[in-house]
Amino acid sequence: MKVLRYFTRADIVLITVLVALAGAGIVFARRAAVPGNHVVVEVDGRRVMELSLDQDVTTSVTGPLGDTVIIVRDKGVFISDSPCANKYCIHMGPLRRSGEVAVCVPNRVVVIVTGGAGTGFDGVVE
Amino acid sequence: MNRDRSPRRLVAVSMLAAGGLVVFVFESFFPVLPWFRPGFGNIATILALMFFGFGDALKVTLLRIVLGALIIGRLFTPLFVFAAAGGLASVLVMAMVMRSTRAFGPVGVSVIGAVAHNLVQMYVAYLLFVRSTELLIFIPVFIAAGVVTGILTGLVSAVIAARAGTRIGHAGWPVPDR
Repeated sequence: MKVLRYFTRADIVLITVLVALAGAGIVFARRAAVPGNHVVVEVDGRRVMELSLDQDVTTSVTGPLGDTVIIVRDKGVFISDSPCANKYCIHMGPLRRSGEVAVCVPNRVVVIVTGGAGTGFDGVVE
Repeated sequence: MNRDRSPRRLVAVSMLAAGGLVVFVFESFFPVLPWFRPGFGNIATILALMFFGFGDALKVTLLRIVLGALIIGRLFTPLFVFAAAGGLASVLVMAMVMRSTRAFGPVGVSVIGAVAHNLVQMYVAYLLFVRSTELLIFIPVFIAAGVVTGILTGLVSAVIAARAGTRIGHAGWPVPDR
């Protein structure tokens, strides 16, 4: 491989370690993620609303820029409209698993799915 | 530290700043994902570090961050704060790594810079905007993204250094063979 000459041995060790770390982290996060049953909405770090994932509802919260519209449908939650310029939060799609988050940074809104089976772990290996 | 005060160096640093700026602005037109960009502007910073040291690399980075934000119209917006914090962290960390060890080549340095950039951005997001520990689950994704983009920018930097190195100036850092 021609490109390999641009890597030193330390580069390869570093990349391997980081990939292993990230892979382990992602696997761990997936394992810990079970379907959630609860939605917590925070504005500016303060919890302003709690919803159940079992009940379809359309609601909104008010942030510094205006109203962010939040919809619960089919045991998933998503941001359907937001006054921010980028709309990244809308593109995050429906969240279903415990621990999943949609964030609208400009409007300071965080939508978090919580709950599910007990602690969020489906087993402890000893 | 490089004590070269020649016009040649001034021109090279200016070209790196301008080149990085153009790449940064161009890149902002084509977001791969809305919040994910490869950060090829960082090539200019890496080359400046390799050839001219921390001071000039800092200038190249600051010029790119401020003028770039001005051009794409996000100066002093939240996204600008992210980019500025990430960019500064990355140039600082890369300079520290290069000063303390010669084990890493351009690719390794670039990967460290990219990961530092991503993690600091996330930390700033946590501090300033969303004080929610739920952001922690993004850490592995941010590390992985930093590794991928770091390898890409590092490789391009290494190739440029190998091919055009002698025309840029005298490298204070080992340049890979062609």
